[in-house]
Amino acid sequence: MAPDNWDAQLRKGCLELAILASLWAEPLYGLGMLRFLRSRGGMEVAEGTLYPILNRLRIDGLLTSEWRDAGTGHPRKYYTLTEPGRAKTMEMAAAWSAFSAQMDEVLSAVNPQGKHNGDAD
Amino acid sequence: MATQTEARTQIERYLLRLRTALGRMPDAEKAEILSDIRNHIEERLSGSSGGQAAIAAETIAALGSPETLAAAYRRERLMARAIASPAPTLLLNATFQWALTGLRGFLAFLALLIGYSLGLGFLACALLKPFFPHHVGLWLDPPAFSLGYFSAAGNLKQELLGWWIIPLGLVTGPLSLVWTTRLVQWLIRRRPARSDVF
Repeated sequence: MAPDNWDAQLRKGCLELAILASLWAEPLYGLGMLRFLRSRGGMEVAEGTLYPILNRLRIDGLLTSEWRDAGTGHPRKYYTLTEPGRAKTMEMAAAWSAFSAQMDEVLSAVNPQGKHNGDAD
Repeated sequence: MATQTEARTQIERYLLRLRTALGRMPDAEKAEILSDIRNHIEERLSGSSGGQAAIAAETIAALGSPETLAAAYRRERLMARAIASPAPTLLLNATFQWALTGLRGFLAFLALLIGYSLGLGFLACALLKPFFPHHVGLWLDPPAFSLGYFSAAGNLKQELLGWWIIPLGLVTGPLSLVWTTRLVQWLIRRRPARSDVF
């Protein structure tokens, strides 16, 4: 139960949602998703973690994939959210927001400035 | 260029090991996984201008060992299939793998075993009752209940259901099997999403 282990578990728990969310606006290929997650949230996701999860989400029917010729000499596999995938993403996002708001309340005693520390003073 | 050949060799060696490590899996799925990983490496190579061999080595290191990567694929895939299909062998296999990783999985596996045994037990009793009316039943042997066949069902044990065990077993048995399957599939779906362990 070391704090750093807890942090890692927390990140892993949210990884599936982050992966689904990265496809919300447009279809992306694997490396594109990794870049999206890094540029938006500073999330470093290991390649070896991403692809097996993508494979499962595809088998689960939350994603579809198609090979597209990107003009780079080799095709890229683009992933798209299916309707059930969009529904699942919204459901998970709502659960996350509710939980996150609760945690902010609980933590307001520990960390009075919370995430609005720019507004303080 | 030597470095290019070196990069190719590294990639092919990695993919070969990955193919072996994936083990028993339909060829089409295996081919899909291998081409996903191959294209990922190609993408990295084409996107950078540095030495090809160095980039190939770096990409391969980031993917992790072929055995670890294959294990992650197999685990994720097993879970997806166990949720999608009612096949008891798949569910048993997936839950057993889960049981090896911790208490939650162990409890789910226990629930699965108990539910299956109860379901099969009720069904077996219902089917055997007409042939062994004096030996099959739900027996009260204070303070315990026992369900099943007893060759020496004497005065000590009291049978509680009589012929009612047939309709009851025919309903309870399948219901227990179905609900156990659903419960464990639900537990698998709700399991903490820990991608490396579970």
